[in-house]
Amino acid sequence: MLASQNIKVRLQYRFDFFMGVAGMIIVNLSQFFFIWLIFGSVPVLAGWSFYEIFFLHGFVMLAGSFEYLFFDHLWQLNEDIMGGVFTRYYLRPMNMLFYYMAEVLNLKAVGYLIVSIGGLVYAGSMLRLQWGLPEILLFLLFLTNASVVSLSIDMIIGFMGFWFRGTIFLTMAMGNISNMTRYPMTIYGRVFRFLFTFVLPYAFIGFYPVQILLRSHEINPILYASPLVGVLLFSLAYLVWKKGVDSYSGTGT
Amino acid sequence: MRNMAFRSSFFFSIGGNLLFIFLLYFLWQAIYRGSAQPTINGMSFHDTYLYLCIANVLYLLFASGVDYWMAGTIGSGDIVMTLVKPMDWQLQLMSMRLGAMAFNLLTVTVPTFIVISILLRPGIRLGVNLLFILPSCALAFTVSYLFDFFVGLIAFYTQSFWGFSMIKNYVIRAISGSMVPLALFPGALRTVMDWLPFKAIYDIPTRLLMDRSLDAAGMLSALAFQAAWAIILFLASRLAFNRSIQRVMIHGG
Repeated sequence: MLASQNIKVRLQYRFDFFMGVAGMIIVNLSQFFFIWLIFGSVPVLAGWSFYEIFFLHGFVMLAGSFEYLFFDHLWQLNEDIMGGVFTRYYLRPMNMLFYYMAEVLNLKAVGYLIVSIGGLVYAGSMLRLQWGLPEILLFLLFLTNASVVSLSIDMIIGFMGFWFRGTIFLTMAMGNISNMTRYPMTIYGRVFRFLFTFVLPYAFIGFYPVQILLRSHEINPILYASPLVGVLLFSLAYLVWKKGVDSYSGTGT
Repeated sequence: MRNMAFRSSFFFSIGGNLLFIFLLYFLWQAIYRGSAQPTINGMSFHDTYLYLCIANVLYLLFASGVDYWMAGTIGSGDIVMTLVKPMDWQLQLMSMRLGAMAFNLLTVTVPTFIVISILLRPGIRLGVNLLFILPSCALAFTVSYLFDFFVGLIAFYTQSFWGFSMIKNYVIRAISGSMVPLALFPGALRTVMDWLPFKAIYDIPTRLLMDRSLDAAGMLSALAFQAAWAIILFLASRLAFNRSIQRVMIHGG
């Protein structure tokens, strides 16, 4: 009987894992689906073609997949804090943030990663991209920056859990909004462009890097310095983390 | 009661949704600019944007979150206590949800509709359709609730409910009309969507409020569609619920 129980547990685990992977792939595909839906009606969006927008979405998704893979524990932070479980991370010998994040490795994100890469390759081939080594290096540089920016923004939002309850709703609301930033920022007025560049820097995750890669004739050359934004944001996120950790231990929950 | 404790999160989701609607305005402006004609599948920009505003407000109203609540109760084991009580669990959850919805209706929905009608002229249709709107919303809520309940039952079977629920929410958001009006879906897909229950939750009540091409016969058949799905889902969820309960009993309830 013990053996059959064991098998049941393992099957359950496999089922959950499979569901998780399938889930992420479905979410991934439905985002591509959505733009396909829109482009069914119009050929051009703010001067960008379907495949350029497809590329943009693929790029943003790829940038986000590293976060899903290695930093998925962030989702649980608010719960751990509210439930008092968080205190056990305080007495660890190594860096707390690293330790907290390293605890969860979300292998289900691999499906998401693969579909994103697939989407990018597909769009790239339809756009007839001819990339040599310099272009590829540029791509990797800005992809890394995009990942760091995306991660830092999500971390700062997640760290609000140190001071507010129920931040899961904030996370979901921001998720919805970030979905809207996967389009050429030129469609939004100056106010929102400012917002998405300096306040909620979502523009650095998709629009600016892809603009540099696909339409470099359009851009302001200062954008080549955008990796600085990634560094800055990550430092900011780390600062917020430290403040949060200090304030939490202060209340002594 | 639980909603009160999450007041900050309430404002987050309202604020987030408002920002989202703003962004939707620009996105759809850009989409229509890229189109050769002023209407797409018979809907002008004004029609589409009015539709999306209403659909998004209804989303805040009808998205019940019952499945999350169920997962929480089932996961923590509290479910056993609840099942011992004489009152029907499904009804219990529904009444809880109705209370939250009434609150939402007064504080969010009505003011927002007033604002929409002021900003978007012509706004919400004021005619014979108003006779149908109340029953339609009641049915829409019922379908939404029953579907969520049905999905929530999965929590009886698996630990990793979160991922599944997130997908479900994402997919429903995408295909229910809150991001793209169903009228804009391409041919074959539109036919499929015409038979699925999701149209009953957002598309039908939304169109009742703004579609001026809908006549009384059309409204009646729309209501009948909603009622039919409400009945189907009710029977299905009842069946599934009883089977799930049996399972809990057998596995050491």
